[in-house]
Amino acid sequence: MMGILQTAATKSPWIVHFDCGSCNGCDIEILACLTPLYDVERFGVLNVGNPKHADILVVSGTANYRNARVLRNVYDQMPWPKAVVAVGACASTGGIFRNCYNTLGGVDKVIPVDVYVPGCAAKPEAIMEGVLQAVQVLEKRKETGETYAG
Amino acid sequence: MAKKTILPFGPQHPVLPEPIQLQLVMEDEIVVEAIPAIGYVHRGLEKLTETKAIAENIFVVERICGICSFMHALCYCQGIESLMNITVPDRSRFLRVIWGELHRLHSHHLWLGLLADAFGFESLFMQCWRNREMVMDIMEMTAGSRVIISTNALGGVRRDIDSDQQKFILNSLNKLQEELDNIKRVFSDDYTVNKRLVDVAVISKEDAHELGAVGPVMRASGLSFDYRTTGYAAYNELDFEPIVEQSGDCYARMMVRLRECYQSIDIIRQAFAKLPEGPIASPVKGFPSGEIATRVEQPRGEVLYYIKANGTNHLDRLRVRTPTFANIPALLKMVKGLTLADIPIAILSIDPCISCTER
Amino acid sequence: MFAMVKNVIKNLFSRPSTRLFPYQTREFFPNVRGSIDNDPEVCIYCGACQMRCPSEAIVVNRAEKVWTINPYKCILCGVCAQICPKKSIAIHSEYVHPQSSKVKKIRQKKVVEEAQSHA
Repeated sequence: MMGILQTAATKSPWIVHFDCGSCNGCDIEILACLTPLYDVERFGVLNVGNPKHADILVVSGTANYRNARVLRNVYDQMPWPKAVVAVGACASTGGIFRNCYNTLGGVDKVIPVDVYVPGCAAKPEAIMEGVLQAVQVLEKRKETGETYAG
Repeated sequence: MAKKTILPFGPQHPVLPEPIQLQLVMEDEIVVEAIPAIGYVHRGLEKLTETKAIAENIFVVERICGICSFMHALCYCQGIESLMNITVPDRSRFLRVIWGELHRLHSHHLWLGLLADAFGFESLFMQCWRNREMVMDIMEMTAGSRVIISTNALGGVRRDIDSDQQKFILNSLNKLQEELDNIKRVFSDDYTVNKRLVDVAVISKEDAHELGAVGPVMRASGLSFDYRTTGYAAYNELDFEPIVEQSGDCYARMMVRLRECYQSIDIIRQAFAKLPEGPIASPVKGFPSGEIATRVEQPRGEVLYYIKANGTNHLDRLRVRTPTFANIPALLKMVKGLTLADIPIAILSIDPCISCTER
Repeated sequence: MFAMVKNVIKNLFSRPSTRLFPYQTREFFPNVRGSIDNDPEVCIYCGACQMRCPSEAIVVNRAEKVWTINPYKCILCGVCAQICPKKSIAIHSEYVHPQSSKVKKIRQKKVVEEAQSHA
C-alpha cells in the first residue's frame, strides 16, 4: 500500500504553495504555471490548499519573524517524502529585502530547501524546471527511504 | 441567541493567495464581526528605503507589490521629480501611461480569474488567465520582464517602444478585446455568476464615503472619483470618464473592473495615436530636498506616497498608504451579516493586496 | 447553447495554446532580462556595478581581478549593464536554471605571467 502511494507521489506530485512575505511577483508566476499556457497539470501537478495532501512545498518570499512559525508548521504537517522549492531571489537569500529589520533572509534559515529557483520575479519556465527537479529529489528520497532529519 | 464562536480564516487558506488572518466571530452560519490580524508579510520596506540611494529606491518600491509594481515606481518617481523640478519629456509621459494601463489590464484580468476561482468556475478562471498572458507577452517584449518591469527611472523611462512593437501591441489588444467580449458575456449574464455575486456584501454610497473606500470599491458604490482624471503623467491629454456602478455589491465591483479593462485598452490606443517623438528621459543632477505627497490611481485604488528628502542621496522618510489598507474598513463593514460561504467572495471583491498593505 | 457548440468545434480544430515546456522551449523576445554575465577580458574591475547594485549581488575584487555575481541575490534590474563604462556586462535572455545549492557565478581575468609580459 505504501509503495503505491509513493509511486503516485512521484508520478503526480501535488504542491502546496506558501507565500511568506513575497511581493506577489513570484506568486502570480506560480499561479501562471497552472494556467493553459504553461499547464503544469500535464505532469500531474496539482495545487492543493492542504499541506497534508502535498508532496512539494513551494515557498516564495523571505521568511520573517512572524511567519517563520507558520512556515515551519506547514512544512511539519507535510507527510514524508517531501521536497521544498524556494522560488525567487527573496526565498533563496532574501534578495533586496535581505537587510530589512523584519526579515530573516532566505527560507533555508527556517526549513531545509532542496531546489533554489533564481530570478525576480522567477519566470514560469524556471519555476516548472524547479518543480521537476524537486520531483527527482522526491524519487531519490523514495528509493533511499530517507526519513525526516529535522 | 446562538452561542458565538470564533473561526480563524487564514493565514494559509486555499482562496487567499496571500497570508492574512481574519478572525470571524460567528453566530451559527452568520458572521457578526471580523477581526483582521495582519503582519505576516511585513518586511520593513519603508525603513529600507532610508538606507538605499534615491535611484536604487525605485527598485525597492517596485517590490512593494509585484502586481502593480509600475504604479508604485511611477508614484515615487513623480514625487522625486516634482521635488527636483524636473520636466519629464512628453514621450516618456505617454509611455508611462501605456505601461500603467497595461499593468491595470493584467491586474484586472488576474483578479477576474481569482474571483471566478473563488466561486468555483474553474474554466472561467483559466480563460481569464489565458487572456492575461497576452498582456504578459507585451510586457516581456517591451520591458524585458514579465512582472516587475523596472522601466521607470528618475526623469523619464528606461526603455522605448518602437513602431514594430507598437504594431504587435495593437494587434494583441484587438485580440484581447475579442476575448474580453466572450468573458464579459459570461460574467454579466451567467445564472450561477449572478447568484453568487448580486446583492452579496453590499456597501452603500454613504458608507463607502464615510469609511474612505478607494478605487473600484468606491466607484461601484456610485461615487465618481478616479485619480487619473486629475491628469498626472499624460492623462490630461487623453479622453476618458471614471467608470461608475450604482448597486455597491460584488457584482458592481466586478463590472467596474471588467469595464475598466475596456477603458484601459481604449486609453492605450489613444496614447499610441498621440505618442510624440523625442527623448525618453531628461538628465537628473543633484539631490532633492523638501517634502511632498503624491498620488497615483492604481488598479486597486489610489496610492499615496509621502516623501521627505534632505538634500542628500538618502531619504529622511518614505511613507506609503496603499489602496487595500484604505479598503479594509469597508471590508469589515461588508462582511457583517454574511454567511460563511460568501466570505471568500467578499474578501476577494476588494482585491486585497496584502504585500502592499504590510510592506 | 449554440455558442457552446461553436466553441467546442473551434477548440477541437485549433492548435493547443499550451507552450509545451520543457519539450519545446519558447524563444524569448530580444532584450529580455534573464541572466547577467561579464566578459572578464573587457572588464576593468572598476567596481561601479558593485556600488550601484540595489541588492548588493555583485562583488568586485580589484586586486585579484575577480568579478562575482550571486544570481540568487540578483533582482535583474539591469542597472549594472546600463552604467558599465566598458559595456562588458551583458544581459542574456536565457534564465538562470534552478539548482540545489546557491552557486555564485565567478568571472576572473586570466593572469598573464610576469615573465611573458616582460619578454
